[in-house]
Amino acid sequence: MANAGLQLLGYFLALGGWVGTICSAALPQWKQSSYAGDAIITAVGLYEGLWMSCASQSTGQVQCKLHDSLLSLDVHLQTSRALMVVSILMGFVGVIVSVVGMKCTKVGDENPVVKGRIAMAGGVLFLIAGLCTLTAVSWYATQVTYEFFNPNTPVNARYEFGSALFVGWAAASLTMLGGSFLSCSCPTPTEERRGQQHYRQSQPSTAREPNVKMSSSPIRGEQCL
Amino acid sequence: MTSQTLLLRLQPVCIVLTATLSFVQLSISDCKRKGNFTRLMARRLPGRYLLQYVACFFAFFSAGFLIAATWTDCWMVNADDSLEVSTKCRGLWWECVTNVFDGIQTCDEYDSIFAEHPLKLVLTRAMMITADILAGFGFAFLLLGLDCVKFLTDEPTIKLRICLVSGVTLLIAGFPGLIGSVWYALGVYVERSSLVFHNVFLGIQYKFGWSCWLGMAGSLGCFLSGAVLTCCMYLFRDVGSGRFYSPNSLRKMYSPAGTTVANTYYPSSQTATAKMYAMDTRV
Repeated sequence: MANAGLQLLGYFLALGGWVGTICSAALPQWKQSSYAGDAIITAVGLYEGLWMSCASQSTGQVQCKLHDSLLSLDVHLQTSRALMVVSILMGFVGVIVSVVGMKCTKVGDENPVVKGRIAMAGGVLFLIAGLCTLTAVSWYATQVTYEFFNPNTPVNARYEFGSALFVGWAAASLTMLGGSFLSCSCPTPTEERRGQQHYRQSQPSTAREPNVKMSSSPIRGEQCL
Repeated sequence: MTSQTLLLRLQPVCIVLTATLSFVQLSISDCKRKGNFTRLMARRLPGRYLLQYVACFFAFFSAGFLIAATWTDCWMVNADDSLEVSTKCRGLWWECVTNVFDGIQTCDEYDSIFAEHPLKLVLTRAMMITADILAGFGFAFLLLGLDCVKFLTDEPTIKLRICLVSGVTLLIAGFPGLIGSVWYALGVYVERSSLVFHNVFLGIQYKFGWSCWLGMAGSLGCFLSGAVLTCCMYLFRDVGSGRFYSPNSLRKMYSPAGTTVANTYYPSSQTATAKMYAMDTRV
């Protein structure tokens, strides 16, 4: 079974990734106007996100407007929105579930096998969340690239990748890395057998003498490093 | 001496509350598994642990509120009686105008930090950031002190100390947050009332907006969780030694102050706590 340190590392990586996912979903810079080619210096920079489109004036003012109607939006925008929301929800559930499953908490401590399985479930949730983010961000990026190289797009109305896309990629990789670390805590069959044995042995002794010092118990030492 | 008697008067209330709450939890766990597990839970779940979770809950939300208040823009909004057709919000870092009809939001950042700013703005920023950092630190440290987290299991009293330290941190964090937001709100109020008093109308009048309220709520939550962590933990520090659920001890708790003193402040509380921790970490 994976040790508690690896679980903690994975948890914090995934937590950071989840926060990054929220940031990237909320940021309005999913694509921003490109100055590639002949460098035309304009007074207005445009950028667009999942929820709003903005224009930043050279005087420092920023004007933003929420997208008008949900139904008139592009398909890729709708899909990215849905995937990002699903990913944030999955990450939220994962954050809670893996706290229960990790070895550094006492919840359900009397059955380490089940605990390991819960931690693995949390890790799988994080993996799915990371995959959702990756899909959403990459899909949006593909669409932006397609429009950029489309000859029908006018030169001064071209967009390129914004910072939220890069935040999203980083968040997706962090979440997936953390999720895979957490998934390492899946108990192997031999450990399951051993765990059930010691569960049966340790249960009555715990009930009889609850005041035994912790350090005198060999099982205890093995469980939490 | 008076504070001690006050604490003693408060104690029965706290005990009744926590006893009912932990009884609910007990009955939940009873459904799951009968027998010795329930008995163990009865020894493991005295009020102290419940208080920890309540404090943790409050600390989480108040830290979140304080951070949200710092970074949102509605510290001042225009009052309804002004002439504008748009909502104008001024924050600590930028001000935004939202047109009511077409929904376009125009934001303008304040000038660089070295430009001329009113003293009120700069000090409120500083206060709010201090409160954010302290509250976040207090919350993160409290997580280590929670009973269900295994941290330094060899040392029996470390959890109690961690909880105490994070409670004090949260209490300290409440002060700059409250001072910052109340000061800002007072400034807005004074400005407005002096304008009204002199019968001057500049075309726009401000009142304080929801960010200000968030700041106040966050700092009050900090105070609350800090108080729970420091005061109630102190009260409950030896209640959790397992005799809590016997009817005899309950009757003792409700008896007048004279007899309770012996129970609450008896000198061997250290060993009781130590025993409790030894038992808890075992389970």
